[in-house]
Parts: sequence; structure tokens; C-alpha cells
Amino acid sequence: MMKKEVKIYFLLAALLTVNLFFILFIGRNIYPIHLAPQNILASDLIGITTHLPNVLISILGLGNLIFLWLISKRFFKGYAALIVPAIYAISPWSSYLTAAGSFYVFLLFLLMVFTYSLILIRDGSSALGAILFLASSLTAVYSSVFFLILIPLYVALVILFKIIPTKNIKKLVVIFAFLIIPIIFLILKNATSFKNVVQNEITVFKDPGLVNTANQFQGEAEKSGLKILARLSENKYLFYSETLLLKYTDQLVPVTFFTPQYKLLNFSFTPPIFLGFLIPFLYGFYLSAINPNTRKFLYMSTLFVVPSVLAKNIISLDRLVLFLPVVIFIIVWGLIHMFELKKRKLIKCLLALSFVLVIFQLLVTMSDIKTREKLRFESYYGNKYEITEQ
Amino acid sequence: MKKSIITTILVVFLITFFGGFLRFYKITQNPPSLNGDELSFGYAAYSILKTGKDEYGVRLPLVFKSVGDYKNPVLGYLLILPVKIFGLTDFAVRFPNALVGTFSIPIFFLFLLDIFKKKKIAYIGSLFLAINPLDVYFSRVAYESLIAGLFIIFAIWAFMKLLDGKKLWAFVSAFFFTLTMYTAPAPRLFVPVFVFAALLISIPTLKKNWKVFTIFIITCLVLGLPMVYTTLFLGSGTRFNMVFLTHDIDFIRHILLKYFDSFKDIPLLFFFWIERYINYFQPDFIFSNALHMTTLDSFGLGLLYLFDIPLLATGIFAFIKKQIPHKNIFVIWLLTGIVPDSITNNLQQGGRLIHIVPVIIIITTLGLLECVKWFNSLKSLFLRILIAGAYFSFVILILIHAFLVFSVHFPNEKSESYDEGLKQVSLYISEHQSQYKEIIIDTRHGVDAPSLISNPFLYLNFYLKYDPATYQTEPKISGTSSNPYYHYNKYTFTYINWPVDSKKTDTLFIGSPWSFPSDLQGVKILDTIYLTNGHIAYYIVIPKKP
Repeated sequence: MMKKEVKIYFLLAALLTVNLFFILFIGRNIYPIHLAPQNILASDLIGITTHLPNVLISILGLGNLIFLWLISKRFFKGYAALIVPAIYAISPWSSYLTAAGSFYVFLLFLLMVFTYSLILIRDGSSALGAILFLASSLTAVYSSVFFLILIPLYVALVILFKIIPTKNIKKLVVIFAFLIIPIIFLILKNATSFKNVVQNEITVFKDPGLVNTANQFQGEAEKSGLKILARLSENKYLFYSETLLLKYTDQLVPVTFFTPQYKLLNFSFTPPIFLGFLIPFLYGFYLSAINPNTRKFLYMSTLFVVPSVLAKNIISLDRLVLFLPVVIFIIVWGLIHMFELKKRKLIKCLLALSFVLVIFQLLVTMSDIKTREKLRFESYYGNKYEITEQ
Repeated sequence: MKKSIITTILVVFLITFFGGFLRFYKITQNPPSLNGDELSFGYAAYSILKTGKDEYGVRLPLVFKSVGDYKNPVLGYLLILPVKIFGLTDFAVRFPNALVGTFSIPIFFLFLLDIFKKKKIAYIGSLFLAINPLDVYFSRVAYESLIAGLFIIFAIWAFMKLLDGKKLWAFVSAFFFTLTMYTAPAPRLFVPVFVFAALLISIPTLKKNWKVFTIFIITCLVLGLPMVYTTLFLGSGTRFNMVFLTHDIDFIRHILLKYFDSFKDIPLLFFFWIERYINYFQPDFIFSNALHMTTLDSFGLGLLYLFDIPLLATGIFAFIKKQIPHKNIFVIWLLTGIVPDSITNNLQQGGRLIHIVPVIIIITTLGLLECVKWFNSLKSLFLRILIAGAYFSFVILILIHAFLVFSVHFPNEKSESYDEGLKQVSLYISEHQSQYKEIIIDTRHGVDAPSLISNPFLYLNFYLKYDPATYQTEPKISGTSSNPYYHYNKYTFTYINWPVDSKKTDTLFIGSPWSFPSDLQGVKILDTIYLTNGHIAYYIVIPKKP
């Protein structure tokens, strides 16, 4: 038993090393490209610039891997729990963002700690759970305007769906509510700064194309004597709603996760997650969707695509990385069930195809990063090495 | 029993009638002009009708050379009868597609009824097809893929029957599969891939009825032989080479960073293809811009309406969970149906996916039934009224928007790409050509820039009802791709170089505003042709005498 645990720790350490090397490999080849640093919300409100150094983001990236394993241990037994961090370790998505020093890697870390704390609270480990819950949720709320909304909403849903008994979390919620008073106070005191922060974060409505389209459509309809119909069905409010609906669905389709359609850091041809994982993902998604319990989690977790929905681009892979753990868990869910059914010929073939594709694409991607990624970056951005949000 | 049949016929008739109305209403005015492909098919049919040969003088061709893109022959031959009945008119050219689009509705009803044995599914499915934006749009133009789409329904329907081991269906299925391949370019790839995959998953049935399957394969091969010949020796493979994915601009410029020239580039090409393939499942494409009916492709129309989102999502689960006859065939139909368009280098086109629309509609129909079931299970009346009210309001708003896209935005924003104005130009020439020794038409046009290249000679031949026998035999002079030039009779199609050309006498010039000096100095305008949106499409001019 002891031996098995030691082995698992060794494997975890190996995964950390692989992840670190992958990040370093990417960093070395696309150096000195990095994302524009983002301020912590609380510091922004009081007018102090506070950026997280890239080294810290890299460490937090590794921390994500460890917390993913800790969470995974609660759902999958033994070695199977290592599949989640293994996929994370070789996922270009997190590695690219870590290499480029993305603020959302830090937010993802907070989200991981927060999720782990909820699991601990649910399972009755109240002391450690409470400490992690308060530390992560408060840091998250004080760091990001999105988390200011999403964390309380998530907690509310956890209570509403009875995922954690109310009595386990009631006191913590009260303490949490009490401890976020300072940020509310800061917001009220610095309303203009807060408005600026919100406007900088919620950029979906800044697209002039949408209003232009509405105006153009209404103008054309007016010329044809159909102004009323256009005002009814082609106004900017309806278009905003339609955009949000389409953007929301766009965040959740395979093309976003498994192909380079929405380019990592705006220029890369590396997919966020290797294509081979698409097969277990589809199976895992189906299994999760038909199971009423997992379906609840699926609904709840889609909250974390909201920051990407509210970005200017159709998909912001930078922001959507908050959803990466959900995708990985769905993949692993599907993978493990496929393993259980591996005696079936078709499943065996699909599993083999999956592995072959992952390994093949990993090799192709490594070679591609080495030979073309820097050139692609330069052909997109010239010599501007610091890029703004995707 | 009798009453039930009469009701069914009445309902299907009403749905078909409504679908027919959407397809035939103002068919010659919207889309605003016949495009080059339509004219090419129309004139080829006219030429065959008059002389038995196409415009190049080939007797009963197996492939229409057209403007070098080697079109599939079925639509050309289908047009002969309408051209004979209605004359060489816009209506005659668009008539077969509108008719096929309309009759697809009851045929789809029968298909669904036969496969699912449930009238509810057949009614809803046929209604969804009747109002499907993709099907309506392509029923209003002479587009061969729509006709191929109907043949594919027949072919797959017969194939499903064939799986039950009946010999006759082997012939029927093989006939329609090969006919489809003679009809449109996309099925040439789709059919072999579909048949291969379908046979692969039907191996147990195949073993039991190997004789029937042998008949099927032999019939396919025999009927397909002429097509192999035209592909290899008559140039119809040219189109495939022109549009293959390796020439994709995005792939060359942003991914490979060079031209595709080595086997080492294949892995990247493979992953690029996968990206293209999966991209067809993107909501933006499915619900918003597959038809490219608006300028920016924003808030246009897709394969389905936006209100179909919940139906499609629910339908996918219902499709997976439910016992559905020939489910595997439907899956293969959908998955292989995307292959042809995904390996081309063009912008993703909804039109080339028309053959998979039936599967998408089936999934949406199942989704609607599931949603209705869920809705009926709601206990709160208030909630039911709220949900129904909100959803139906949304449906109505989306349908109004679709109506506006079809009737207002599309003619306003896309008439240019339909070469609007060249019909009027041709009619002007028809009236006034006797006054000039030469007529020069600039092939470049465009409101924002002279970036669109058209083939005005197609319009001239069509609207002047130019004698095919003369056209086939008279001398013509052609230029090169770098120096476009085409001349026959008194007509010249080239780039107008005004400082030089304005010195010509007895010559009529036709071109967009880009063809002439911006201040129109030295230009005498005889007529101005406008686009639907009010922009100038063409000037008809002669040089001003000093």
C-alpha cells in the first residue's frame, strides 16, 4: 500500500517535471512574448499597480497541477487520479498561458483551491476546508471583478443544489460575507475606478460592428418600408442577446478546445488540448449529461465560461482557461469509462486511435513550436512582444 | 382510416404549398440577378436544345466546360425542358430548383414516415424542411447541390431498404448514388466515402446478403465509369485540383508559412483539415452565417434558425439515447457529409452541406419532441405560459429577421456578388448594338474596389439569346489569365484602359465607375445602371468628342 503511494508521488513529481519542461520549452521558443500584465482588482481600486511576476505565475501553474490531482483523488482511485494532472501537464493551453505569464493562471489556481476547499467541506474536513475556502474565495474576490460575482454565485448554487449541506457551510458564508465588506466599501468609494475596471473587463459590448449592423439593417429596412419590423427584430438589444447566446454556446463546443481555431496567444497553431482527447471528451460529456448529478455540476461549471463570453473576441482562451479543469475532468470521465468497456472492439479501436492521435500530435506540435511558432508570432505582431488580452 | 389518410394528405399538401410559396415567390427578382453559374447552365441547355451541342460544340456532353470549371451535367440537361417551355428566361433557369425544393418536402415526409413509422416526426420534419433557410435559399437559384440533395435522400433511403436484402433496391440505390455524383461536385467525394463507411459498418448484413451488395457495387461501378472517364480525360478533375485544401490561403500564410510542397507538410495539413472539419459544428456557422447572405456575415442566416439551438442540443441527446432505425447510417451520413467541403480551400459554404440537411432536421425534430415532452411534464401553469411565451416570441422575432434578411438585406448587400446590373447592360446592348462597331465591357467591377471579376459574355449570350450555332463556330480570341481578353463578333471583354481606349470611334464602353476617370472627364454617359442598394453598378458610355 505504502509502496503504491510512493509510486504515485513519484509519478506526480514526474508530471510536475514534464509540465515544467513543457512550459520552459514553450517559453524558450516563443521568448520574449508575454501577455500584458493585469492588475489585482483591489489594488486597482486604490490606485496602486500590483502585477504578479511571471515566476509566481509559473509556480501557480504547477500548483494547479497539484490541486487538480488532489481534487481528482476524490473522484478517481489510485493511478486513475493521475490522469487528470497528466492531461493538464501536456496541455498546451495552460502551458502557453503560463509561459506568457497570464493573470488567469493565477485565477485558475484560486479556483482550484476554492473547489478543493468545497470538496473538503462537503466531506467533513472542516478546519482545512474552511481555511482554504476563506483564503481562496477572498483572494479571488479581491483580485478579479468576475470572481466578485462568480464566487458568491457559485456558493449560492452549491447551496441551492444541495451539493454541500447548508449547515456545513453556513458559518463560512457569513464570515465570507463579512470579510468582503472592505471591497464593497472600496467599490463604493471609488465608483469611477470600478466603472473603468468593469468596462475594461466586459468588452463584449464594445464591438462597434454590432451596433453598425443594427443601424445598417434598420436603414435598409426603412428604405423598403419595413422599418417597424426591423426595429422589432433587428435592434441592438436583441442582437446583444443573440450574440451572448451564440458566444455562450461557442465556449462549449469541441472546436474551441481541440483545434487551433481560436489561436492561443492570438497567433499559435497549437491546439489548446490535443485532438486525440476529443473522443473520450465526447463520451464523457454524454455520460455527464445523462446523469442528473453530474449534469448539475456541468450546468454550474459553465459559470466559469462567463469571463470569456464577456470578452470582445468570440473566444478568449486566456479567460476560458478557467473552464479547462472541467474539460479535463470530462475527458478523464470518458476515458475511464472507455477503459472499463475496452473489451468491445469499437471502444478498443477508439481508445487506440485516441492515444495514437495524442502522441502523434504531441510530436508534431513540439516540432512545430520549435520551427514555426516564433515566425508566426512575428508575422502577426511584428516586433511587439507584449500582447494584450486575447 | 380513410379520414386519417385524407387529413395526412391535406396537412402534407399545406406544408408543401407553404414551402412552395417560399421557394417560388418572386423567384426571378430575389436573388436579384442570375449568377454566372446559372447563366452558364441556362445557355448550355439552350444550346443543346437548338443544336444538340453545348456552346463549345460538344454533342451531348458528359461534362459542361462552362468557363473552365467543368460543371456536372445533370442540371444542364434538366434545364432543357423548362427552357423549351418558358423560353430562355430567368424563370426557366430557376424553375427546376424551386420545383425540386418544393417536392423534396412531401418526399422527405414519406422518407421519415417510412423510416420512423411515426406521423408526428414526419410532419414536423417536413415542416422544418419547408422553412429551412438553407433549403429555401438554394431552391431559389439554379444550384446543382440542391438537386443532388434530393437524389441523396433517394439513394440512402434505398440503401436502407437494401440492408433488408432486397435486390431491386440495390439497383435503385446504386442508380441514385451515381446520379448524385453526376449532379454536383460535393457528392463526388461524399458518395464514395459514405458508401465505403456504410458498407464497413454493415459487414454482418453484407455477409448475409453478399449477392445483393455485389449487385450494388457492380451497378455503381458500371454507372460511374463515364464519370471516371470525364474526370481523367475531359478535365472535370480540374476543379478538384483548383480547390484542394493545400492551396488554402490561411494554411499557406499563417500555418505552414510557405507553399505546400513536401510530404513533411502532411501532418500539419492533416491537423488543419481536422480543424476545418470540426469547425462545421461551430454554432456561429450553423445558426448565423453559413449562407453568407449579409456583408459582414453577422446576424445572417445559417443551416438552422437561432431558435433551433435548444432543439438541436436536446435532439443530439435524444438521437443518441433513442432506438432509431438505421442510426449508424444517419451518423455516417452526417459525418461523411462534411468531408467534401472540409477539404476545399474556400470559405466554408453552407450550400455544399445541403445533402446533410435531412439528418440535421431529423435531429432537430427529435429535439422538439423531447422539448415538448419536458414542457408537458411541467406542473406549474405559470412556468408553462412563461416558457411558451418567451420561446414563441423569440421564434417570431427570428422569423421576422429571416424574412428581412431574405427580402431586404440580402438584395441590398449581396447583389454585387450576383453581378446585378449585367442583365440591364445586356438589354441595353440588345437595343443599341446596331449603332456601334465594337462594344467593350470591363470584366472588373465592385463598389468599394474593382475586386470582383465577372463573365459578362454569359449575360450577353443569355439575354441576347445569341444564336448557339453561330457562337459554337464563329472565331473567338482569348487572352491569358494575366491579360484577360475575350472577343467574338463585336463584343470585347477586357480591362478598359480609358486613356488609350477612349480614342476608339464607334465603340460603346461599359464598366463600373472604376473603369473611367473619377471626374468622368471625356466621358459621355448614355445610361447608368444601379444596384439594389443605390450604388452605381455600371456606366454605359462613349468617349466625349473634344
